[in-house]
Amino acid sequence: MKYDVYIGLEVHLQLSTKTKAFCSCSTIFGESPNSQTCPICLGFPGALPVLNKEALKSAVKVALALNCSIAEEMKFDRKNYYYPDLPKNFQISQYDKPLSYNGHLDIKVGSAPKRIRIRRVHMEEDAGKLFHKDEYSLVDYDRSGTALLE
Amino acid sequence: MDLNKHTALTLLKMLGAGRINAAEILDDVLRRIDVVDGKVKAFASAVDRKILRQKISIPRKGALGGIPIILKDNLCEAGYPATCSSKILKGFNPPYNATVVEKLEKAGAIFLGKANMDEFAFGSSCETSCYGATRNPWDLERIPGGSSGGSAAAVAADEAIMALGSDTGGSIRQPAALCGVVGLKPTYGRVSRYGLIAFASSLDQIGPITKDVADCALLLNVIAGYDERDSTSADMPVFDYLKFLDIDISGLKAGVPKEYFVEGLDKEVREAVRKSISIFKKLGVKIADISLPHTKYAVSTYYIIAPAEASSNLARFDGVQYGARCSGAKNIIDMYKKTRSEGFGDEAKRRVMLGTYVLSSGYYDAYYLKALKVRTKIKEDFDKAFSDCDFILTPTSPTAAFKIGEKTNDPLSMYLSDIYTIPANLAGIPAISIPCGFTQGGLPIGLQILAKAFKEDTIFKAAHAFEKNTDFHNRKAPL
Repeated sequence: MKYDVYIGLEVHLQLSTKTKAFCSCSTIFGESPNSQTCPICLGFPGALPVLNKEALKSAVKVALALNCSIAEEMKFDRKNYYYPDLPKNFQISQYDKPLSYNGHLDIKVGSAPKRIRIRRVHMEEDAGKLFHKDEYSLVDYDRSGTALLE
Repeated sequence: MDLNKHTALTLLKMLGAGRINAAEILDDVLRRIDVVDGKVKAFASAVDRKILRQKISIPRKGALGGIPIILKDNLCEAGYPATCSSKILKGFNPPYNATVVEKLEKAGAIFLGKANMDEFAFGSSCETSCYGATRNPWDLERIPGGSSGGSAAAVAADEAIMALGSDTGGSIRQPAALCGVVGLKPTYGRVSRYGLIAFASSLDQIGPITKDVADCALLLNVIAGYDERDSTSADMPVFDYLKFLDIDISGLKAGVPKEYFVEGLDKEVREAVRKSISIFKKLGVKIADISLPHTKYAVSTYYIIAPAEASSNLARFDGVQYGARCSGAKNIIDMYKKTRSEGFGDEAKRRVMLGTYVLSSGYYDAYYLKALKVRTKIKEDFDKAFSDCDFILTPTSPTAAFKIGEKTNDPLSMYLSDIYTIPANLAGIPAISIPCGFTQGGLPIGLQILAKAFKEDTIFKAAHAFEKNTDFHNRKAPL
């Protein structure tokens, strides 16, 4: 039997915004643990997310560079799962109404042109980081809520 | 002087005239709490009296300068407990203020503490609190309604001049009705929810519970408005609602939906609401029989959407960062399970399970998506009704206050307590409950007035006209 091989890639990238996706905490890398957090990116009860305008602008630029159609209306969804680096136990992501869709990227394989289709580019927030010790684990939420593209 | 018996507006007038000072109000309120709260149990936590006296010693200016207020236990005030009356949040003192708390603080109000509530606002009787049940000031054997039962009972018992509650399916209006006070659920988006511990994000709204309609307008004046920290708050003009109180309502048209006067409605409640409708008629309001045909689906729709959202909102209570954490867990999954099993009460567990089920893959379309479609139909019913009517009149609750323990083993009959209040949350429209009569046994009955989104002014006009021509709001609980 003969098979054709198709490989799909899910790629995440961080948007280089000054502040996080849904709060005004700094995104500077390598600061002391949990120094760049607030009730919103710590998922404290009662705190509410507000979308970072610059993150949205950057996301649209990437989507356009990848020849995507930009949605006239998009929404955010909650991806529910339990993990200690995810303070709300859901990740704010996009499911059925993403930012953009149906794009492509033209590359060359050797000298032959090749078109990579892009199904969608959507926005989401990053989780924090776990450090495992012998009997316990530590969490650094400085990355929590950083703006990502998928 | 019993200053605690007065409304905020009366007290503000007395303060303005220099006849009293704010410390005297606070003293009378605290004295009243000492006398009656052992019986009523309206508080989940009280602010230290030294702190209160210190605060009141500095002149407090603003629209509510010196007025003692109680906040529902799901509202965040920096440094004070906000536990949603749940074991799982014991010891949680948020490091930030809710927007409404900031606004009240700026207006000069004094916070007495947090009002008892059904755990995470899951309930209609205030019995599911980890602090025990609050009692109805009109009959201590009965429930005050819920979930803002502590807020309503405190106002009814004159333990606070005003209160804030939250309303997801009737949690302000139903306890207001059962305690004989005024409670408003504003339009979805009218009041910022930053700092309100979420139950169901597409339904929750913060609102006032007060002794009369004018105080309700005053309190809404202070808390309403757009907030950049809450993306669901509406960027719409906020009015001075006090200006609408004395506008003539003759010529307005009120709809009376036939679906709200069916089986399950108590005879005395029906009678009181019918009499209220005839009072509106005398005031020159045209009364029209209308139909809201999808009303019968409201409770089932709500009990899919609300638990679905709650199961996601409550996921964060896992013992990792704050609140209670179990001891002796073997690993992280074990810690989650034990913490949540120990921390949540039965009704919270029931709703988390219900919600997780209806959102799970394979059932999502059949339950959640379908419920969203029915919700749209319910909203369309109201759109149609308001194309012809200025407001709608209904009972707030199908019965007066029931006995403590009467419905705790029968969740379905408990859920039906909110049959008349749930539709306003599903449609996002404002609705008030005002006192409109008493049963022969002396229990308060509430009348609900609903209006189009952002037409709180119409509600205040109608409610105040009714109040001016009746005396129900002046009666005090025989404590």
